[in-house]
Amino acid sequence: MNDIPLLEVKNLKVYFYLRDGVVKAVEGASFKIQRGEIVGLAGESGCGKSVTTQAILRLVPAPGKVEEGEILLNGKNIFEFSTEEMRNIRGGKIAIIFQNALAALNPVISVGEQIADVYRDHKGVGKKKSLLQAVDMMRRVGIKMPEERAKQYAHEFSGGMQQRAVIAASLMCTPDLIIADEPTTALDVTIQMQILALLKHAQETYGTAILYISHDLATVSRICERVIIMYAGEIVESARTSELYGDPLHPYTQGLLSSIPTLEGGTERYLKAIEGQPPKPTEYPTGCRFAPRCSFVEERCRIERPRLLNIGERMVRCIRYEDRSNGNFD
Amino acid sequence: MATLIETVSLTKFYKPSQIWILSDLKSVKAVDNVSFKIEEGQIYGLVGESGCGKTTVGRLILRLIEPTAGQVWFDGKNVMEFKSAEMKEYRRNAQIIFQNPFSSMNPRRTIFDSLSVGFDNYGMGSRTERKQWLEELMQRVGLEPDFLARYPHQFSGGQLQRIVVARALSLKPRFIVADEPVASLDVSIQAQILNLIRVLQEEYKFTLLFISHDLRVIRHMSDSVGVMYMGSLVEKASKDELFSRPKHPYTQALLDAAPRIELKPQVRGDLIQGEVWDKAPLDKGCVFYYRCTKRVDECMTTPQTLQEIGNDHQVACMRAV
Repeated sequence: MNDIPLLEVKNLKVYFYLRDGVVKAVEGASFKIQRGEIVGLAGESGCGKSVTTQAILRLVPAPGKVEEGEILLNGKNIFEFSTEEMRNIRGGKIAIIFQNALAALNPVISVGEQIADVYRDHKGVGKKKSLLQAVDMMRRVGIKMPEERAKQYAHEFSGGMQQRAVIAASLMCTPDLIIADEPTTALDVTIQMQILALLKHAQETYGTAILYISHDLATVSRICERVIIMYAGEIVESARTSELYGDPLHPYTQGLLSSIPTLEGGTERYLKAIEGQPPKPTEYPTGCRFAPRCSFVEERCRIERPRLLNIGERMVRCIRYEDRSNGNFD
Repeated sequence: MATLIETVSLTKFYKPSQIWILSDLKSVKAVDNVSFKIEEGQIYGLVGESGCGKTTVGRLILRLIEPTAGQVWFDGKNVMEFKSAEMKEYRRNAQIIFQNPFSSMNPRRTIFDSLSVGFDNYGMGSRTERKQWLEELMQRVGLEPDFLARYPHQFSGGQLQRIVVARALSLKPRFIVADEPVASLDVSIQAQILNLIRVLQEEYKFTLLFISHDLRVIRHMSDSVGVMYMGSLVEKASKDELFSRPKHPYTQALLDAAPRIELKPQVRGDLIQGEVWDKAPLDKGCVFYYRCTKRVDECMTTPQTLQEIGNDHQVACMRAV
């Protein structure tokens, strides 16, 4: 363990230049991931969580552009890497798992071969050896009869098994970081828990850090040690799981948590919903981006952009906490 | 309270192939012998995982597809025997809200045109009367009346789902099937739509079949609940009864796995294993046999049917009775 975090994102800005205007998809995101840590990145559609992960892999699609900022992997800025070096990082040091496992798998290559491909490509070993490794990894991620299953194709796998196969591929080169982008969203609840258990197991066995992206605050709370909440392209809150869920500070986080129906406690006839809807990405308000929906809004909120405040170990972007702050982050 | 909707041994089998040489392959039992009642003015929650047949039940009740066997009763009349005039009246009285609002609306028609189709079919109202009623409806679902002139792509998912709700209500139906109405929406919008459905239900007193995979939403919305697994209804009871005393091992497993907010991260590896269609269901015996933690040999050969265990609570498990 050294002092340099595994991944450090500094003031990341990703803009998309469209005909209708500039979409500021990510506006000054900064966070760190330590080795072996599971960090959650949560928010609703369009909040910038997926674009952030694309930037980490340098895969922001055109017309998107990383405007500003640094992403340091083991202290080195990935934007200074050559294309070749970047290729080695993808799948080697940083692996990614997507929501739709069937789309992530090639339909005309057997599952075993695809998993083996990752290994062969990065380690330069032969076909036979890599296939043996793939079968071994399939067994480790809980695919029964891996020798036979390796010869099958993606459509012959159930949804849960497809996701296990993708996780097997992501683990082939024992990456330092796995980016899991909504890995359980498409799955049934009973399968979701199995996949969470598998990811947790991978972290414990290989010491892999995981950046867990999801809109579902409940699964995030189950697996992540620390959670970052994004809204309209900005980080609005970041804290340890127990603090964030036990004592949410940002009005948006509070609103999200109280709008989810629960399985315990009383059932009020109505949920405490957040009014209104997220702003259009081309029309973000000048002040706080949550101001139009916030029930604590003040005049100042509409004029000046709130800064990300440090409060002890946690961070929140809201002027209501200025007197509790011990400095600001950006 | 009167029963508005009743299904009697509702069954839908799908043959894997229409080609005669393959036609002796086993058919898929999408819905198998499902019977339940919905009281007038109640919200009935139907819950289960993907492929359990809950959507098929909703469509069978509306006769969007024809059952292999069994009946649907609406207000004491057998829907399967309806002739065209009665069927037309039933179609006005029984509406549906789908999961995806974008595929529910014609992209080339304005909202006003899309919502007027129902009136055209039933020759209801003059243009001004229609406009007045639709404008009022738009306000009831929380939108501006002049949005009627817009096209679907000009709305967000949450707004468009409000419009779909308005359309379902436009002909003043007595019964609505809501098939995963919030599953494709963001969390903050989900709560808005659930609240909206509740407000409107209290105002217009329609009866609702609420289909969802999410037990939290089902618990919040429903008066009574049915749990489905592989085409069969495995447990049914009032909401309070089901959530305080879940009896079927599948219901219990579903509750254990349901997403909960945890203050300390914890992943449970000890929960239900396997997946729904891993193995073809048993010919006889329990549908849940292969994944059940409480199974005994007898479960493999004895068909499990719903048994009353008191308090209007029925469960299809001999271990639970």
